[in-house]
Amino acid sequence: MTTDERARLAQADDLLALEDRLLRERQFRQWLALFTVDGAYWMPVSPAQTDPLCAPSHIYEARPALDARVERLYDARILPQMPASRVSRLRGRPWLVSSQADAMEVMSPFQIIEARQIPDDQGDLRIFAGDSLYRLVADLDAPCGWRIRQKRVDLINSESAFFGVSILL
Amino acid sequence: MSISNEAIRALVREGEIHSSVYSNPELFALEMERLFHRRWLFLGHESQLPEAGSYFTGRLGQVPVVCVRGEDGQVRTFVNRCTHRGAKVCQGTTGKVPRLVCPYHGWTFELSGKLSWIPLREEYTGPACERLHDLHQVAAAESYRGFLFASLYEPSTGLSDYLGHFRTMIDNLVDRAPGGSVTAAPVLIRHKYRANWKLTFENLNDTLHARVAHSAAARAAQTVARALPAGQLDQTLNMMTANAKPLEAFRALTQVTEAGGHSYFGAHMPTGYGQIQEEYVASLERAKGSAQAQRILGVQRHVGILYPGSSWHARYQTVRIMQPLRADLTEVIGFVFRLDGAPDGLLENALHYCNGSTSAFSTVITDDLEIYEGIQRMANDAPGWLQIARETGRIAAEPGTGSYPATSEAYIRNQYGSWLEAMCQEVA
Repeated sequence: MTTDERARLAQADDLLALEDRLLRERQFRQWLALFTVDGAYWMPVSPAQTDPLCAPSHIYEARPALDARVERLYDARILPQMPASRVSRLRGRPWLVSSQADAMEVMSPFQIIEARQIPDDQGDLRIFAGDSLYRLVADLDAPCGWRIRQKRVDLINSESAFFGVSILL
Repeated sequence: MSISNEAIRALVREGEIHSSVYSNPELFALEMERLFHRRWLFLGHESQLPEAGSYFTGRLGQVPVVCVRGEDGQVRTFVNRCTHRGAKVCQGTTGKVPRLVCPYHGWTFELSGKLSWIPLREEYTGPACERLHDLHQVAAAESYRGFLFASLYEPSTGLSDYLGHFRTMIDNLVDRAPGGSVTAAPVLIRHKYRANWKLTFENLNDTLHARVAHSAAARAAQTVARALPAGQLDQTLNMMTANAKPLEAFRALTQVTEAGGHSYFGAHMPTGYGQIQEEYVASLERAKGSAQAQRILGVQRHVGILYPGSSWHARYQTVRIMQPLRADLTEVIGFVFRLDGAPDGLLENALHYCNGSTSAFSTVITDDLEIYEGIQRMANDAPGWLQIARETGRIAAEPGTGSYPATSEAYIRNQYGSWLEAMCQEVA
């Protein structure tokens, strides 16, 4: 790895740490601001999917549809988040997947545990685990110097039938 | 079974049902035996089986089955169980094999299901060994315009009578393809919920819940939409905001029911195809002529219910299977179809609907799933009478073929009419 790549990776690591902190603190609008204005969030059903517009996905939302997902989380009457889930997030150090002059891709593994906090499910925890691929573009005005053009989340059990999920992974 | 027909009939009375229809495991077992194992159920599409040996797995009620394309091009539906020791023959959800080989002892079946090889064949002597069986083929399996339907036991009607008027939901999906056929996208999307299968069917044509249950999503989408130039909403925002329509707008739409428990109501989301509209309509007109193309696009319906197995949305190219697993556990499997001969971009618009209506991560159906699970917990713990009475008494001919304002609960009563008919039949 070159010195430049090492520096970039350190910036990406800072950006992902910031992302984690914003999600942890439920600052969802600030999280959204980490994306480019045409940024997208993609959670495919199969790891083999290469195009979000060829087959169904758990989530494929480019802004502004993604903005609506975020706004909904602030609504007092979002039924599957009454009360809001408690979420524990662990993230591994990112590695560089590709690097161009003003863009790079980094991958980072994650493990997220959710507690729904509904009386009937007392003690039930749900685990989400997988890898997130961040397609980043250089932006001097952005925190850490990079903005997210696309975040792709591959769950290790992505083909499973999930119960409803209303948290951001 | 210990539940008498009289006891079953007592669960449905005028404008009311007893919530034990969702929770009683004995009733669930009867539903499998009398309804799901004897009705035509949608399993998948011929385009998922491109070559001899292609297969996909599925379920008919409680029974795992596999659809296989044979050397002769025919699709056959087998119970996915080796006739030797009962191991599952075909693994996973989809694949391609030269022969059907049981992974346990290697019993081998041709693609036609015929038993072709067993180990130590010479040791099978004596009368008990006469019973070496081919794979068990289900009683009825048929394709309608490329969509594969099957019934485990002999159904009481042919597929054509079962579909009835509701074949037009399938016709309209295929007719919208300039090339005259559709192709299943290569990935299916699934979610599940901890509640009874009927709750989805009772929800899918319920226009009244939309602006209440999905109000958070609608408000969020409206907030975002206000900041955008007019006409710039994508399909996801359109779906989220469509639910916020006033009740009068829903009431002005028509709900159509038919014997068998089927129903649909008029389109309430955008019927145009956005930016790709012109290019797509031109391709359809080239293929079908202008008058026919306009007639096809003029069929404007929201989601249709093919009771008790699937839901269909022609405009958004989406079909869902509702798969009961237990009285209190249901899986939903979503398919989205490419319209052959249509411009490439057409699938995108449909995908947003398929994702939004079938993904466990949807900002819309997560509301529904939460509500179903709440109803189920109450039905488990404190069963009682529930209302399905809206618009009773106005039309004499319930259940069966009827036409109502889309805010009516007639479609639910129609489902229970069909449910009772199946549940109270004498089964040999």
